Amino acid sequence: MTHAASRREFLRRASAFAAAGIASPYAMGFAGITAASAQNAADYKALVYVFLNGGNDHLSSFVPYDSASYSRYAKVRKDLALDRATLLPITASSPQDGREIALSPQMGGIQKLYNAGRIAIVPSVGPLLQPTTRAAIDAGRAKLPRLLGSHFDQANMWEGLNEASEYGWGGRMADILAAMNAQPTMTTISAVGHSRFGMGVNTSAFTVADYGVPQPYFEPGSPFEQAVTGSARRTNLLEKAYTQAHESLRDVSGIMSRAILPDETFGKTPGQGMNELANGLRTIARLIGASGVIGARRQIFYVELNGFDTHSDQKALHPQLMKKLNDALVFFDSMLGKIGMRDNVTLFTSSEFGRNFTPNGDGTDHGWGAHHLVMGGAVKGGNIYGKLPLISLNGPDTAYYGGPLLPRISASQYAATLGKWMGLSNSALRDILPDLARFNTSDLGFMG
Amino acid sequence: MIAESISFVMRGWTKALFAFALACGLAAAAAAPGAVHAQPAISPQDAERFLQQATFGYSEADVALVQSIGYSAWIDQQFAMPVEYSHLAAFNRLNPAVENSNNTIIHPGMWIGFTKNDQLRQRYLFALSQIMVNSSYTPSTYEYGRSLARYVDILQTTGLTTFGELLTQVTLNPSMGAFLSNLYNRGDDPVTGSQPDQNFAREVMQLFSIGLWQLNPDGSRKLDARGQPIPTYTQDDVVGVSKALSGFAFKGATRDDWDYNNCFCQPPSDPAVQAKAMAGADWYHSWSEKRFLGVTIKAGSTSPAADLKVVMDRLAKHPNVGPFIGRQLIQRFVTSNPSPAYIARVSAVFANDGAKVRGNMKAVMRAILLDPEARDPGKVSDPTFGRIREPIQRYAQVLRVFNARTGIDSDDFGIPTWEGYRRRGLGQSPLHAHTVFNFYYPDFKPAGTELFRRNLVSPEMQITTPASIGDVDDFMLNTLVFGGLTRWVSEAQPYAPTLTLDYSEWLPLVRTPPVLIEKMNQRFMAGQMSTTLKRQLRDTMAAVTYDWAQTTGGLNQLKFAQAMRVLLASAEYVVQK
Repeated sequence: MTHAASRREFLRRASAFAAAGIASPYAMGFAGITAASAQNAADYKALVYVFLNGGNDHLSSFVPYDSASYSRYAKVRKDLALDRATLLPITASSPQDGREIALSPQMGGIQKLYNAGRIAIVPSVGPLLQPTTRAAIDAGRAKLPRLLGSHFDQANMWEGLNEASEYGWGGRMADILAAMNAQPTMTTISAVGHSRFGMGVNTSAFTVADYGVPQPYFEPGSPFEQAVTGSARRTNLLEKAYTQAHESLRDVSGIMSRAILPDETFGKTPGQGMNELANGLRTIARLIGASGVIGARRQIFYVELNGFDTHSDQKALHPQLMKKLNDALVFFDSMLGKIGMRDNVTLFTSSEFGRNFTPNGDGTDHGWGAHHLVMGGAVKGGNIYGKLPLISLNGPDTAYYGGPLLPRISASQYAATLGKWMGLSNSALRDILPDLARFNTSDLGFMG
Repeated sequence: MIAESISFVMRGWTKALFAFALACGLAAAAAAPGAVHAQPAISPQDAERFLQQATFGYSEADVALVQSIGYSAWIDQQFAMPVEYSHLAAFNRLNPAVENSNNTIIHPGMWIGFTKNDQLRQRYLFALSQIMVNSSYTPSTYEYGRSLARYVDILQTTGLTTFGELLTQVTLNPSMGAFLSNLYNRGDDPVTGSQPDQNFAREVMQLFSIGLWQLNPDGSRKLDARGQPIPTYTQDDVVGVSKALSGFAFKGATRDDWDYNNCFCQPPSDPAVQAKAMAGADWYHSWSEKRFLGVTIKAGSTSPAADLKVVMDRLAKHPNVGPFIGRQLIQRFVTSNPSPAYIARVSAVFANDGAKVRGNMKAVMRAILLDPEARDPGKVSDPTFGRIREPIQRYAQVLRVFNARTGIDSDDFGIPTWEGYRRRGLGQSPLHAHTVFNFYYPDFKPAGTELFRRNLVSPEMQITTPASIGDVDDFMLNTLVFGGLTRWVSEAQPYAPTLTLDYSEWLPLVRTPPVLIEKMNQRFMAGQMSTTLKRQLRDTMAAVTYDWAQTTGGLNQLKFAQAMRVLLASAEYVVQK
């Protein structure tokens, strides 16, 4: 323990002491919503968006496993190819023309959850404006999403799924769902900071931290509070935006931090603090456990795991990422089990893109489509919802030579399936996801 | 040349702007030969406002200097100053061991540099480090500390030459090569089908030079016949550039080094080589035909260096660079939402500094700081004007204004580098962005705000969240209350000072709050403080009646620290206007 840290602790305690004598308006706000806490868990549903930041190499997570696919994969991926004997096979009842995938060796927990029917896999999913074939791309007839291959723009695309708007599909869903909650400002919650996903027209994400809910650090009515708030009386728009962040802290965290489940509710987080996904999911589980108290019936969460841009040293780095993902998901499932919320919460992965089939030296480059997974008690798990692609450098399932996976399923269909489970109407989904109408179904069938 | 560059800018201005420029002290440059003009007086507030934009922090003497010599001559003086702090020299001083080139040693030096007297250069290098982002955050640069130190020196030296030269040196720096996988990047191999990595090729275009969309000189997007924006490049261009830039590694690398080092494990052990630019190696360069951005390099080109030059020339001459880079520099110094006309004036200077030099970065900086939109004091009350000072800038201002001194280590203030994904404290450390996309995006619009509804941006709001604002305040308060930072060295030296702030000019004024607050107003807010905030600071001090922290300066220090803390968190201060 450094001196600086102990002094900081001293300061924290000192300011808490200073605030103790003042009646808190937050207590009143809290009392005002406890009537809603009688809500029944059966009517609660939450989505958890897990962003694999950097572009996950799906070929190292969901490895081609039948002998024909594996031999093509091993031939091209060379040193980067995972040893077939170490892979964790899974089976699927959906017809796959003899194609199989297996999970990477670190994904043992995910394999168990898949086999237990709580994880489903959606292959070849990615941003699409319309159903797209390789032939159409080669002929220059395909209408493609803008700026494929750009980290920021493809993450933005996944989170918005609407090239004509700047909002996120989580935020747009929250705009509608917020009316079901006693505290509409607590509908969308981010565990990592700003994202487009949570941006709605009338709602925006409140940001929490891995230690829980940030505390208001100023006394109500103090000069300090006045200096950092007061958005209504300010004319400069940047000052307004800055003070709104403080006001959101003042208005939301007080209630949220009184309601959040105590940290001790759950056991040790895997990764000794270094698994940021597990840390974030812990806070999310603690908030889900508080949903009855704050009167929430629909919530949307956002969290990330970083480090997927494996241009180099992929063989060493990617297994560490898969271990983090596996451990975090298993931990989340166990936390939800403990609070009886498995059936109420659906987690799903996204990533700005998959990675190219062709390696470059010891890493891989930005691709397009990828395989993703969905987890939860309401998921019809243990199956693959879509067709596994032909493994090839230049085949019908690649967007161009070298092997970016051509998505067969639009991320809009993926989002719509989740949105339907949350209770959104077809017309609301078509409004939020304008490209949906060009695809044959808006329900991929993986939700019960 | 200075007069020429100014008169070049002037040509496009309206009469009103011309008159305003005269009032701004450009008179000497703009006047007709032979005309005699008295130097228009610069008020203390105007000088302070200028110094808020051009420095991390200033003294009363700095204000007087700007008043006496004018903005333009002050900029000249700053650019004429020698580099006060070489990061490479500091690295070698701190880390003479040849084999240890750990990148984490770079952050202390960044903070030390921010307190030196070549302030405009310091603000400039910090701004550039947020555009041509290199980072010690990722494991990929971990062993490249010496190259990274050299990178910062490139920003503060070559950065003030021409854009083309800067882009070339950025491209050839080994830590940048390691960061974006262009170090030991092999050309395409027709036998195995292996392709060069495209990471650097993509980001050098998307982030460091031309951006994603074709721009007009005023920063607006060019539109095609159907009214759609036009991309600057395609995936094929990325491939072409990646091939042209393949085959670069540490100077003197042998083919064995290439075969062995392809894992990027270790830089060469010679420290001199770690600090040098990369050099091309024929055996792993791509020799097939390369096409990009309308340029074709025929198969069997002359050398990696020749291909590099083709790429750099093509990018540096692209019409997008002026508006794309110019706008971001304006955002870092002056305002998040510059008018199209402001961007266009800066773009014009980028295209031609008046002596037909393209990309003269000193001229660009001069144009940014002397522009009427930057200098007009009326902009203070424009609701859309200004920028949020990022936490690093706020903390650096504290260091500068209170004449920060180092303690047990003359190259390190002991300011923590916040590691881990969800960072505490200031939430950002210099040269430590999470990814090549910097701490925030230039186009970030905070949801649920009027900025968003009016399509206005505030990049720094991206790291301003309920979770971060309290953390920033917590760290500020800790530093302010104790007048610095300490570090545990041993049982005998549990509170060894690493940073000491000098409050001697300030604490005697605590007993006359209006005088003290006016001084805070001048040194931190360029005289823009409202009577409301003044009252809040006075009330804050009055409420502190007991020195619970047992500071060295007693109750007065705690009163002052609490008032400073409120000022530094206040919306009025945080938005630099």
